[in-house]
Amino acid sequence: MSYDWAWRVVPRALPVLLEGLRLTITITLVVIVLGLLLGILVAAGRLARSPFINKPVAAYIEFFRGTPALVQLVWIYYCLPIVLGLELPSFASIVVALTLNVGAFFGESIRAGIQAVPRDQVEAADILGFGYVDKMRFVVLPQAFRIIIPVILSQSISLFKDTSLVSTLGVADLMYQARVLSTQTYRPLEILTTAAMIYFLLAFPCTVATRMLELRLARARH
Amino acid sequence: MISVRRLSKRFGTLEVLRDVSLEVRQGQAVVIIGPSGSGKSTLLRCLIGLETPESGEVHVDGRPFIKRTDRDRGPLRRTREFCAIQRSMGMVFQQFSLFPHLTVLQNVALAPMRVLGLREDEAQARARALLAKVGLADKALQHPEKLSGGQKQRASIARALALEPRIMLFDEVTSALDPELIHEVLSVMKQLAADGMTMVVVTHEMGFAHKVADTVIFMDGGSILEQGPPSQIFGAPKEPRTKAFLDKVLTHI
Repeated sequence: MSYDWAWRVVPRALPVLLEGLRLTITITLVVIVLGLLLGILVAAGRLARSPFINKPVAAYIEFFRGTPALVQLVWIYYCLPIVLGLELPSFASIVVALTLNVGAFFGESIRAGIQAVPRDQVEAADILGFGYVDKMRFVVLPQAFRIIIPVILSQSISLFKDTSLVSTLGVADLMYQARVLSTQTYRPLEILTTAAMIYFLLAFPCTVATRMLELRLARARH
Repeated sequence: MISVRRLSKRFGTLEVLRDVSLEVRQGQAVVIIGPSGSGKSTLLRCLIGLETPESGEVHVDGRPFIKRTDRDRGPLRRTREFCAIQRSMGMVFQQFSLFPHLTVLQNVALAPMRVLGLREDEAQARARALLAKVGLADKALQHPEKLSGGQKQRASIARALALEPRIMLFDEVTSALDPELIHEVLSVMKQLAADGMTMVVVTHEMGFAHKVADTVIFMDGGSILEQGPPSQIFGAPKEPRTKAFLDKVLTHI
């Protein structure tokens, strides 16, 4: 192996890569916020007593968990305009696709967290006369969040990395810029290595922080 | 005060309660004893609407609380009336069931605020008075995890009393405690009984049953086999199964 590394291309490529990173982070944050809102609704729907609500919600979850995110992205990007007859800007269409994907995962995590709250806590709240909203707000959710937050964080870190899929749709994120620069400079190894490092430098501290938080929350419980 | 008529409850094919009927009068302390699996706890949980019986009725203060026939399906409906009657009863569980994310004071003050609509300072004043009554004035700002088992159980009694219930149900509240902590919980309960609180107590503490109960009920196999004043149940049980049970539990002393 005698590859002639030429790292000098990196400093010139870096501003463009960071420009791409900005979009990657924007997409990630927007999708986390929308995904959480959707996830809360999904969890509520999944826990609903009526089969007319919980069955369709379960079907949605299984569909988005059982198909590749790339397929979902491409489908919503290319097919939705034809099916619905409306043209979405590419940013909007990928946000919709990723939100639907993440909402399914967030929703299941929130549901699991709520159901992990011990039954006697719910019973104690019931016999103290709390209504549904107060029971959720003061008793169930504060305890569920300790279980949910680490899971949501690690799923958000996965999302941050999975946003690289949008580069296949011509959205100028970090991965897209890295591909363009690779062909422009004929130095794919250096550029892609740099892109990987950028992803890692952001994701790794978040992973460590999540793990620390998880330990702290576990200790705080009981 | 509480009137139970022909209550039956199954878990799958297991009959946990068979046609149980029971009257609890105002100011009475009723103690239910019996071997494990005899249906004592299930009866208590049915009384307060935590379990859905297959059939039977529960009336509280003359108001119909639960009325089920074999045709009824699904869990009990939490109507406004149901919830109002339910919270006129307080219940304390074996495993404390305090809210771990709240301080002891918040545990006691939360329901008066959210359910009775008291102002925060009123609810806290009530909570502090109750905590003082159960001997936990100095633990008000601690979280439950910092408390001993006996303290947790007294806090949970204070929480139940905060809604000023007319009836208190105690479900094996000393069974999870270290022996040296049992008496501090029992003495709070004795005080309540002396104050005239209507109580239904499921317990294995025969000494407590003997001293505090107005009526002792012996349950076995999902039925009430015998009931009467403690002197009669402990002194001259009529049923051979009552006698056999008491022989087993009392020989340790």
